[in-house]
Amino acid sequence: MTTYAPVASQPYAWPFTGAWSMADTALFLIDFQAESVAEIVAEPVVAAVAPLLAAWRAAGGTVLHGRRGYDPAVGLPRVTALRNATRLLDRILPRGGDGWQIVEALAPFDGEPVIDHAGDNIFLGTDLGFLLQRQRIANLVIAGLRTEGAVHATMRAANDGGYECLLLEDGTATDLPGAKTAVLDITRFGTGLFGTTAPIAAIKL
Amino acid sequence: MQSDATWPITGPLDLDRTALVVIDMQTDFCGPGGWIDRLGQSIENTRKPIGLIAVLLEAARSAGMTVIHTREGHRADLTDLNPVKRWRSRLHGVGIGDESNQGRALTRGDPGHDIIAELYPLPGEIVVDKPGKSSFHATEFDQLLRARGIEALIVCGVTSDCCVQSTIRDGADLGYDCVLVVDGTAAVESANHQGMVDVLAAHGGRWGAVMSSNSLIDLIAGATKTGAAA
Repeated sequence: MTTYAPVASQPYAWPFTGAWSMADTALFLIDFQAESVAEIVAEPVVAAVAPLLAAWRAAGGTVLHGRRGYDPAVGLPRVTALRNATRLLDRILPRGGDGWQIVEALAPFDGEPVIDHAGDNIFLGTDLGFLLQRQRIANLVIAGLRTEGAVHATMRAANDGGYECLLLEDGTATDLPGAKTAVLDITRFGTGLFGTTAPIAAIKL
Repeated sequence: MQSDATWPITGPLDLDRTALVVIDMQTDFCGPGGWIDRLGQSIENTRKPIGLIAVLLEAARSAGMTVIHTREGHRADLTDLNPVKRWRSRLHGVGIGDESNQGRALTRGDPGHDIIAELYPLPGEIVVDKPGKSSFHATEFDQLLRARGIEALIVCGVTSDCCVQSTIRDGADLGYDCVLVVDGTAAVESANHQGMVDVLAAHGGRWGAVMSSNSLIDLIAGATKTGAAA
């Protein structure tokens, strides 16, 4: 299997081991769902991620998809439900409802795991950690919505779990002013508090 | 900055179902000669909330609330230190767990790992040792909270952009009603602290509320105990 050179990322060349391959690295697309894309006006982000997704698939790489929503038969935890009900934007949607589906340009292919999650940290209450462990994935290349929401929460948890994460700067977006800059700064703080960041173009397959 | 979120969102404060969580007020993060200090970074910011946390601790203790302290750090044999965390800390200049004449940073049993004297746990208070940033990662924290019947968390400590935020986020995902004590927390970098507070206060408090220590002390003083956990 092809071994790739480190990615030109900040604050250091990713991954820390000095090399990566499709055997140990997954592309994780988080919550590119219709309502979020529309609220954020994230169509340019979707368009920027699509070629990377195609190249990743052509290289035989693992692709994972996060999809936020709650089971309407179960609902959300009480506190989460109360907060969700007061929010006008960034609402957690019922699974299967309007705006919940992943946008066409980044839609999962058959065989690509879709991880349904009700909260932000996609490791909580899902098989994400188990899937990564079973496939011996060590590194995650992450794109998704919203930067300060599921993307950051999941990257924090992945980092605690020892995964080496790279966040794609032009592969993530939010409608919350200032939040993307804050999250990127916190992510890269010191020698990479939660990982590294790079533009999509830095990924050379 | 305070959020306009109601806290607790489920109704009046129930002291038996609420815990004060003091995150990582260890010498390694806010004491002279600790890890941050040895990295050559300033501990001025991380020492700032000590006084207000002490007042909040006293209020919680007087009210008979559950008090939980956390400590970030690793087993002495470092079996719970993942390779990337160790590599980054060495790149930073002081490797976690590495032997030195100033001890081993973020290593259980080392003096730098312990909680600072000003905020030292009283006998009977819970101390959670955690290997990650989130207090919920690879610990008994969630089980302890459930065993105590805790539903709401008052979160303070350091650092705001790191372990405090990871704990609040996971707490919110798990259904706990969290409030950040905005003047009871700090980060090494002020900009990261402010950015994190602005995010947590947005959308009316998407992960919980953001309140001052004074407001919380008033709430605690006016609250009642139901005896639920007695």
